[in-house]
Amino acid sequence: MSQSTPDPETETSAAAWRGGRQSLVALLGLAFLIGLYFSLRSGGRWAESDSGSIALAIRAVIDHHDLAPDAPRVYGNGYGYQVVSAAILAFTGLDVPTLQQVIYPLVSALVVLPAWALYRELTGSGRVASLATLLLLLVPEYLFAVLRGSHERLDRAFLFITLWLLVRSLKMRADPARFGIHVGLLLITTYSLIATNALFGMSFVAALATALVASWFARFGPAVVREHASSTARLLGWISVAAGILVIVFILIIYPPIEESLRELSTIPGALLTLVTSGGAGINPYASVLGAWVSPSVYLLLSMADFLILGASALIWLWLGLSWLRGRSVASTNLWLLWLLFAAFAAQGAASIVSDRTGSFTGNVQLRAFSVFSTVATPLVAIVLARWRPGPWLRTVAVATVSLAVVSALLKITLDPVVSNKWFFYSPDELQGMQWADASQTGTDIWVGPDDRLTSAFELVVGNRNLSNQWDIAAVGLATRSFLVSDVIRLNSARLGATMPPLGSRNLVYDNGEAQVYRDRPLAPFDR
Amino acid sequence: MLDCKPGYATADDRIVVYPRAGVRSGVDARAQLDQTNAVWLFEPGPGNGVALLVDFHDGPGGGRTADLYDDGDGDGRVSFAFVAGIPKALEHGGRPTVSVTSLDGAWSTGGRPSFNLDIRVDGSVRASFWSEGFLDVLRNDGSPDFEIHVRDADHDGRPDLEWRQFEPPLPEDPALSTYVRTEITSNPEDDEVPITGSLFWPYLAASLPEDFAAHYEKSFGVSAPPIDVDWSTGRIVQIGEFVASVGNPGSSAIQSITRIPEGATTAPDFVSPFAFYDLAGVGDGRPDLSVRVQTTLPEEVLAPLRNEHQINTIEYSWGRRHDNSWTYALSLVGHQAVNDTIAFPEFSVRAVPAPELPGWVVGQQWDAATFVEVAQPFSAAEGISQYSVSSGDDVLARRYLTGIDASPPVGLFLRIAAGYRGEYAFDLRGRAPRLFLSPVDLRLHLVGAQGGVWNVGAGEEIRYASIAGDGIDDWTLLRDGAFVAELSVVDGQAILATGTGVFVGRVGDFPAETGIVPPHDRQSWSDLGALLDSNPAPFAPDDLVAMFDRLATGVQQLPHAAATDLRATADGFRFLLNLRDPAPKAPWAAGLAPGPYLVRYGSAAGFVAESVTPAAPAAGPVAVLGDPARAKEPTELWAGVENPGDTDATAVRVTFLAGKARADMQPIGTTLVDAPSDKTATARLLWTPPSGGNWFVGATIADSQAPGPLSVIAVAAAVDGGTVAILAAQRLSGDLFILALGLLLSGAFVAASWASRLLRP
Repeated sequence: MSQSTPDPETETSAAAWRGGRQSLVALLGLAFLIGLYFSLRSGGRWAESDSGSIALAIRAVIDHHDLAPDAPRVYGNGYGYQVVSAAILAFTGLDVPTLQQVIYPLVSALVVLPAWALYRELTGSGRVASLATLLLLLVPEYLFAVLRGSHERLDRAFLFITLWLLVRSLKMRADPARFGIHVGLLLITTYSLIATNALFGMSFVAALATALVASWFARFGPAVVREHASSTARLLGWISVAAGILVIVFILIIYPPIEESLRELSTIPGALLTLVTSGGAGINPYASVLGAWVSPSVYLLLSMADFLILGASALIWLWLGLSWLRGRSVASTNLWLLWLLFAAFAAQGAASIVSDRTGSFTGNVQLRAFSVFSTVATPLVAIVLARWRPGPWLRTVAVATVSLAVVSALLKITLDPVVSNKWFFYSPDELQGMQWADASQTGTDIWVGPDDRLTSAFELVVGNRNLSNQWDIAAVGLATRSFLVSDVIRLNSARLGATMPPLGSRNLVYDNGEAQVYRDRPLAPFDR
Repeated sequence: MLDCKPGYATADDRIVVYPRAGVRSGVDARAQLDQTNAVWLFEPGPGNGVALLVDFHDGPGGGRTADLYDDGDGDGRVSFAFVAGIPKALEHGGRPTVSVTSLDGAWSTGGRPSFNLDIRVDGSVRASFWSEGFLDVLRNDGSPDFEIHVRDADHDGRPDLEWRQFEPPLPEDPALSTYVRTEITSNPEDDEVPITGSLFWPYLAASLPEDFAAHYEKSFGVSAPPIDVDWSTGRIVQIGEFVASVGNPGSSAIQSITRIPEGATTAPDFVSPFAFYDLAGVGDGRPDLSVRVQTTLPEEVLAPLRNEHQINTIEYSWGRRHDNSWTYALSLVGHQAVNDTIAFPEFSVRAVPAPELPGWVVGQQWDAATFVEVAQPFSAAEGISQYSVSSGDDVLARRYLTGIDASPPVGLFLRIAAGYRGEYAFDLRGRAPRLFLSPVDLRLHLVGAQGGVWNVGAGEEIRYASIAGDGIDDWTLLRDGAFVAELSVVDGQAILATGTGVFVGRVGDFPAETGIVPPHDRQSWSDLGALLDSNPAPFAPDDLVAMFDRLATGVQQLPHAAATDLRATADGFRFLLNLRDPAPKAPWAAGLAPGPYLVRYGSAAGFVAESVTPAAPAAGPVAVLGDPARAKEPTELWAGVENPGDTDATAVRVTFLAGKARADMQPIGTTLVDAPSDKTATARLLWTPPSGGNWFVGATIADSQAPGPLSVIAVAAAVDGGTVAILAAQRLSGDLFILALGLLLSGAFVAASWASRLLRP
């Protein structure tokens, strides 16, 4: 049974189409407002580590006219985002900081379109799709991923489009021409996802393979799922193999810089084995989470939408599974596919909890996995919410909760200093001080604050530092000879409980009013 | 077919030649050895498997080319197939490992081999000096790993220039991979020794030396064929030098990590150049001066200011006689900009030309130097590299001189191999390197040296020190690390301390030969040799007593006394004297009772003995170093520690105290300082004031009852990390802030209103 069965929520009339259009406009508007707030909250002066690194990678592609330049700071996991950015820069004349800090957060609103289309296709209802999209816009981890200056906005767009094509192709099998076109386009968008970030591409292919395996076994399961399982197994079988081949071709032939990530990936099993055999707990990826916010309760409040959607979707997934086991019919093959994808991405989330213990990929795989997971969790929640008929009081509470969730998501994704100890704003004077320190010194380790706030800003706005210099953050190194200090750095240190370096015996060699540069006094006769 | 008995690899080898034109009848065997259009199979050993296949054919532009194929699959044989009756190699996908092209159109003319060659190497073959560590990454893949160019401008059968470009599959950017990309060797005197030991073709070695890697560089007086084949494995292993890079006077070599491309002028960044000279003019092909210049490596500039220019390191070795041995070496480090250019036909490099290099070195100003003498005959290909400024992983050149280390690596330069003596000058104060012949030990010393060591051997060493002069003026003899004797020659006085007592005397009329320029041409080399020959040392190197006896007049003896801590003063010097017996022969000490004394010497007052004031360190007032202190931020406190005594106080414990009131003062930390006699040391302590306001601070010597004077310092309040202060620090304009707030509320409103619509009542 590949066709969607008529559902009470399914709306096929012209009115429904108009309603869907209005929903889309409203959701686009909300996404645009979120993007605008993200950019304007810091006056457009924001940066974080991945945005800085990707800015360097964009410049490397532009400067070397090469997808995989033989240069430092090339992005190791794919070229798609850099190429798209380079093209936009070439056509518009914008510079990298403007694109990353101002334009992209606004453009990210467009990801709402494929998300809504996918949810519409999966659920057969424009209203459910709108609810699912609205819920997605309340998830801070999803928003941060698509708003910051990294490849993830493209990854999500490609993910939504690919899944949309996958779901549509389920019902095209009777029409070989349209089916072929859909599968062809699906492979193109899959390759685009891989080329943008091969790790996300591999994660997607692994999810398809997991869904395939689950479908294959489900053919021997309850009668109500067998037909759906056969449909998805056939489709996923071919597509998983084809997408797997694309991944292999990309990593073995097309993009050699990915070797380092693969090496890191390959160390995870060994590291896990060592953890198990040594009985250690490994690295605690949550250790820094609570310290990054002013209090644990604030963190919980800000993450309210994450936990609500995680918990609710898991319960709904279980409930659906149990109901099918008890013989209740599956509403549609699309719902079955959604259920499978939820399980596949949830399994990756569980695996990431374990892998983060090894410290691989800086121990934030969970965070990235949750961002992807939320894209299949929200439609499950939306399906149930659409059937909900709350009374006036409950409806008011629900609407107020959505309101609060938007505010808390915006505070969280902008690392607002009111709630966050780790900030992503900077002042132009701080950057000016860094530029002076970098240009006026060689072979010098320069301390620039208690965290990577300013190094990210420098990478995003200015680019590569003088290669003989080194930025020092957090603890002062033995070789640190120069120090950038500003009011914000002092405040940030105070907030983080970090000790400022002793500056008294050092020479003040630069001061622009906001930022100062200190330098060690000469030690040796030649250090003059 | 040539049966070789004895063969080139075993007792019974074979070479099979397949001329493409066919075997000519009526022509003797030797004339059949076609090297213009034929394939040669080299089949060593009784199995007669092919270990090397050479395909001679026409090259580009009328040249001759030889493609050399070796084993690629590890079976020790070169597999091939016959195509039209001629062997065709199948190894490496049919790609040659080495391809040699003669630009002269022939491999030899009039019995003189062609040395106008372009050679391409593709695979794991050592074809440049510094490639040895990278052979595991090289593959025969159709992309050349080396391009070698050899030139013989006058076609006399002696190559006069070669340059090699190493192109491994590694990043070209020197910042990412520091392999040597270009090596150049030139012999403008055109005196390369003719090649001997070839296997029918001038460049192919008949036999492989057991330690072939050591034969990459040409040995003295020999030019082996450069292409080495391991006949047992069927592999081409090495393409050695055509032009000797070391040991041949007149020749010089350049090796650069930054590539030196053809058609451009490039500043090399490794060895530039390494040159050899025959200052004696004997003309026997042996050098008596070698000069090696090494410049800063790419991305290696470590520290500030001074090193914005490249760092130049020199090893300058010469022989006292032209006898194939090295005697002296200067090692120098400086930061000169080099603007000279060495022009080659195809490219040019920014470096001092070899003929001008010795004069350039001795004429430049340098930051630091070492000087070495080898006491026994010492022979080596390149010169003396012991005890150089690069010793100890470049700690002097790359850490102290760049300002990373606060103190020089003295300990490193107080050790030297047996038979060597070395001196160091950690700060030449930007002077040119000069030597002087000391009248004390009649040996060459470095002007400006601060210390040194001579490892005499058998557990005996002489430590050098500089007390008052601009070079070595103090000799201390140690045996198995224990003091034996010390001789100091300061301010016209010689002071000898031995186990039998202290001897002082006036230095006689022995003018020192100073300002000697290190040999850099025939005249200066010959003059220095003559000076040393005319001043032989009539005593053993460890005989300080003989040195004293030769120098001193009017000797005064202080039997069984000990002298220590001799140091220069404003008008002479002073030392601590421990008198055990009366000293009637020293008028200034005649009336002194046994005991410790401080002896001062001045040219006007002569020797004067005083009673010794013991060390008495005392801490002065405490102050804040630099910016005013702020609560919860570390601040640096300092206090002067004076020692008016005559003896040094070491490891003095200074305790700092602080409190909001005098009565509340508590220790906040202790630090150790050395307080030399008659000097003020500085004790420092990092302190983080817990709160703002006025604080009483003071410092006291730990074992002293007398606290130092108290000070009051103002500590500013701690930074206010509150939300308002942070929002203010963001420097957002009011309009922007209101706009952001509006957006926040609008987002909440839009989401709420749409949620309200989507949720059905």
